Amino acid sequence: MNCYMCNTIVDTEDSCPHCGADIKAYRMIERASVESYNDGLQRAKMRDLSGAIESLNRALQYDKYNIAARNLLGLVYYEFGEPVMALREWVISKNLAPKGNYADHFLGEIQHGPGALDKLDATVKKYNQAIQYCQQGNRDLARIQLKKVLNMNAKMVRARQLLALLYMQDGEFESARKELAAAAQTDVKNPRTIHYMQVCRQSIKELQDAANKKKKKKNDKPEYNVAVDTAPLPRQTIIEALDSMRGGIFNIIFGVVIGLLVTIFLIVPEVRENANNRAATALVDANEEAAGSASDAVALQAQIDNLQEQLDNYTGKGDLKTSYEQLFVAQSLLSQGNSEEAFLAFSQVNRDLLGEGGQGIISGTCGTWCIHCHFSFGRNAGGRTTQTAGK
Amino acid sequence: MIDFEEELKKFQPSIEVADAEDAIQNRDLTDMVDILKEITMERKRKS
Repeated sequence: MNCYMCNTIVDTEDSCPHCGADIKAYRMIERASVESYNDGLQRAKMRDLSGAIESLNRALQYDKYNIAARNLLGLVYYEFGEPVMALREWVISKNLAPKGNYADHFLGEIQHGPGALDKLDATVKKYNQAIQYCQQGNRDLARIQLKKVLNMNAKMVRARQLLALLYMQDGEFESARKELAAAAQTDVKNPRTIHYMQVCRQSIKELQDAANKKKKKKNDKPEYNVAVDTAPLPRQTIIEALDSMRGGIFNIIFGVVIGLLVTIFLIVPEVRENANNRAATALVDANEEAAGSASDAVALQAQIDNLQEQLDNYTGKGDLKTSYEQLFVAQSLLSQGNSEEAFLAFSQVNRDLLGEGGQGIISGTCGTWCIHCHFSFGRNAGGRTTQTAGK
Repeated sequence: MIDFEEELKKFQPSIEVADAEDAIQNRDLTDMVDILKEITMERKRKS
């Protein structure tokens, strides 16, 4: 051992023979540093990384030249997912002991590995970004970022803890538990992981208890009382009964409101549309019917005219027959000398309807007499006779 | 139950590679041997 003041080699003395420095205290400090290093090494082997970091830092606080402790501390940091902290320790170690230092190996691995340093840096940046997202309240983005971080470095304990915290905050305790279990595989006795895990288990248990209670309540059938032979109602307090009744009333009101809304927004417009369609169809039918009626009226009028014409012809034909009959009666009465009766019969003759024979009878036999009678009787007789005779 | 905001405060950003130099320089390397040296020198000065 060398004196810490003058670097003189000392053996078992309690003070330096050269400068008189307190070697005993120095020896105790050195021993404490080595013990702490051993403790840290033991913990690191048990994957208690947090404990190892604590012990190794203590070892370095006793003696900063404990190179083995510093190199191991760097390695533990690296395993813990803190690569820059690891680099720091290895660089310092290299500076304190430039020759024969195993830190060269670690630094070489990181610096000469293809893109290793960039990857480590990107991981750290993403983790920091995730913390920023959390602080800004963007938990979804933080989750995404943390998952990316863990894809790049699955051993980053702090990222897993933060992701678990986010899961817990959102009530996803099972996912949080999985993340914490993965974190615990890297660092077995991390106090934060243990704390979160306890909270997580407790919350899961509470949720399960609540679910079981609810299930039990649902499946709780009334017990059959054999002695009384009646099925008693399940035990229920007045408040619970009121609550359930209130819930039932609320459900009914809710159902009614939904029904009304469905009626207003779905059924009524449909009915209204159907009614409009029916009215439009009826209007079209009525228009068509009216158009048909008009054409029918024209057709009927034509039919009436036709029939009227036929009737006129028929009437004329009747008159023709009557005229000839009356003409012959008048001729017969005239031959018998009954002028008045003959005139009356002759007055019923329609001269226009008679043929040439009839006209000849009138102009030949009865012509002169008729004219005479016409004027003599015309003064006392009606218009029809006068008119007929005039013709 | 966990207070999310309080727990979140415990998560400090990791040191990035660009800040590694500062991290190395700011590392407190004082150990007990340094303190012992100080004490010894102080004692010598007084005597």
